[in-house]
Amino acid sequence: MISGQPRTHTQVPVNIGTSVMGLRYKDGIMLAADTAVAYGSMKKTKHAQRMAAISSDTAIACSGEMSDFQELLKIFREKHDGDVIENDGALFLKPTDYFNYLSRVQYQRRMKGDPLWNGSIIGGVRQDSGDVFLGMVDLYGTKVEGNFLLTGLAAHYCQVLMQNSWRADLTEAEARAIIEDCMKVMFYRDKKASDEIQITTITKDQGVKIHDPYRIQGEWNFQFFHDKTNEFWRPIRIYNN
Amino acid sequence: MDLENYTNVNIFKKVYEKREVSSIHNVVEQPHHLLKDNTQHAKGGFNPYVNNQGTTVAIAGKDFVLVAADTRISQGFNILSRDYSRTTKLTDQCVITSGGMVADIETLHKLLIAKVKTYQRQFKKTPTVESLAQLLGNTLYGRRFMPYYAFNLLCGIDQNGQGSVYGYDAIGSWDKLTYGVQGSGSELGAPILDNQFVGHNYLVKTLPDDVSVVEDTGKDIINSIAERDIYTGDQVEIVIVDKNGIRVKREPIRRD
Amino acid sequence: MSGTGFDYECSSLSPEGRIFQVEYAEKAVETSSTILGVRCKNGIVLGTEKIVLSKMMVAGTDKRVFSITTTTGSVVNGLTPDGKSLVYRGREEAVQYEKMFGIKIPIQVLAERLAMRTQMNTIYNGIRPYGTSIILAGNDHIKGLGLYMIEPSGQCFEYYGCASGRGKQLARNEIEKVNFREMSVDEAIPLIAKILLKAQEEMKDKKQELEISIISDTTGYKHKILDRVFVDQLTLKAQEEIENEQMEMA
Repeated sequence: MISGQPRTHTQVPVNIGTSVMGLRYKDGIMLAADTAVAYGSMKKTKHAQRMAAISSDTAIACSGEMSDFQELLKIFREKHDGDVIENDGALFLKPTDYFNYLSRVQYQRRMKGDPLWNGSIIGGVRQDSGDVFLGMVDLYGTKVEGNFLLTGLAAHYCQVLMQNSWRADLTEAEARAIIEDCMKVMFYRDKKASDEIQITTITKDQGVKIHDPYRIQGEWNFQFFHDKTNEFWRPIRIYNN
Repeated sequence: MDLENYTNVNIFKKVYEKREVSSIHNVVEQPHHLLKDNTQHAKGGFNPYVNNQGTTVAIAGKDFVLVAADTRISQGFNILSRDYSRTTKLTDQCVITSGGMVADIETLHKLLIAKVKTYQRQFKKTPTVESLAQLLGNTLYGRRFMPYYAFNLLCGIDQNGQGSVYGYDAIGSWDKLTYGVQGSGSELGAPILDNQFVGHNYLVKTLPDDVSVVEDTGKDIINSIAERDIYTGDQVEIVIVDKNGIRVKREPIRRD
Repeated sequence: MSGTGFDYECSSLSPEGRIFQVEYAEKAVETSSTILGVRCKNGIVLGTEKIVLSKMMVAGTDKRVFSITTTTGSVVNGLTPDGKSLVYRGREEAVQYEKMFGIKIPIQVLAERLAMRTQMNTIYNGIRPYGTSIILAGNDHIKGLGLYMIEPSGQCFEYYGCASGRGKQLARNEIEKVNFREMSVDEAIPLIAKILLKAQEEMKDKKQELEISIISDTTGYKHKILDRVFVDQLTLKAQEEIENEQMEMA
């Protein structure tokens, strides 16, 4: 850093998590992300968790800079715990409140010129009324709500896939199948994506449930690949001079 | 074995050698730069502004004012939402409608609502449209050096019961108008409005004072813009302000 | 002992080596409601009794049991606003500690810091000592469970069982009689309710309320203030039992 000059390294993302997805289904919300974190084009970690519960009925999944994701979680934890101890353990903020709060935090940071470089999807099901909420906030503080939401490259690759297969009455298994389908596409096309994915479900009965990560099976055994490889295949030659 | 065919390295080599050193002048602006993820920004660069596009039209009548706006917001070539409302109620007789950056628009609208409330508490009356027009101008100019990326139309019924529209640029330059159009489709919308509501080219000038006629025109204008502007579409939201208050309705338009 | 000029401020000791202002603060504690905390086999119970000041006061307003962090509870007596101020200070300390060191504040550190704060108030001119005693209970990853009491002088000790307030002597005797350390929290709660009610025997005819909170393995070592309905039922049951005991004695 040049002394006297403003700090700029926070304006470039370094450790990047790729796209996250979220969708409504019959019982609530399903959030999904893969577990890879990229450092440039190197996969720095293949087993990172990019989603978290921020209260008993709200969860967040983040793409983008992972240190900023951790900072966000810290901000949320402080807010949540502070509210809980001041209200004698009562659930205070609702999913929509956390959504609006996140949007203000992001907007504040963009005004500072030091944004939290994340695309975040927040999902929640209110425990009292059963209201289902799904929203997305970007690094400018833009709020978007929808039945299914995608950040990053998935917004390009999976939009149509989601559009065509989403229904309001999806069962958990169907929702999971859609997510896996999308994740497979991402794994094939996005160099920063991995085939290990993790899903969080939020339902009225069970609240936030972060499932264990698992691998989706990719299909590579196409004749096309064999042919292509064989075309360029040459025996190793050793030069002696 | 023919060494030339041994690997395909040479193919690449040729391509590499032939490539011209690009200069500022022969760089063609790629539309795909918009497709890039936010994480692709050049080093040291955070651009705090983004244009979420969208179009809004406002037309003042004798005793009403009508807003017709689309509900699409985009980021690059991506549609973020198809049912975003870009019009906010400020008082019973006044609404604000904006195009530009959604985060800034929402912040601005929220701030104005707060200011209206403060005004009501302080003076025990609701601010007039004229007052709000001046207030909005000052609010925007107050952020002269980091402007709200919002292009606004303030629409309401004035103290004489007449409809009025105030148009603004992002840094608070403003004027009273009889109609206005803002946002990504403003260039497409402006001439239609000029033609329909000033009609300099017509011998017989018909200024409609019927809400339903204006409503149809408003809808048609947004529809027409949606035909050519890719950032405008999905739904048209009609907001009518008259002495009875504010009415809102929506209609679907082309979604592609 | 008073009237010799040594009791107006706490910046000087009396010839007998006492600081009267601190003793007056202790008086404020001694005449107020009983608070107590006991260490059990699987957790800690905090409790207090209080007289309902006015029939028109909304139930639950006069709070004396507070959370400082999610895993730290406290109960205060004496001048409750002083107690609250100390609790808020504790919350700030806890947040600041966690920000700096990345771990939850150990209960001992928290108690020590609040004690130092209390002590500060006994040496500076222009401020008065806290007229409150605070019992802290918590669980941390270093020493596990911990129960501390801070008195107006700044004195701070760790306890297996402690009490303060008007029924302090009785409560201490009762706590010593029962072997709480071999008892689970759930078993201890009714006994605690009884002790608290006994400790305010002379105020029996006035309407009384209890506040009880626990930290135990069943709450995941989180501080949990027991809900009003449950505690009210507990109070009624305890009252009945006390009456039965007295009938038998008579």
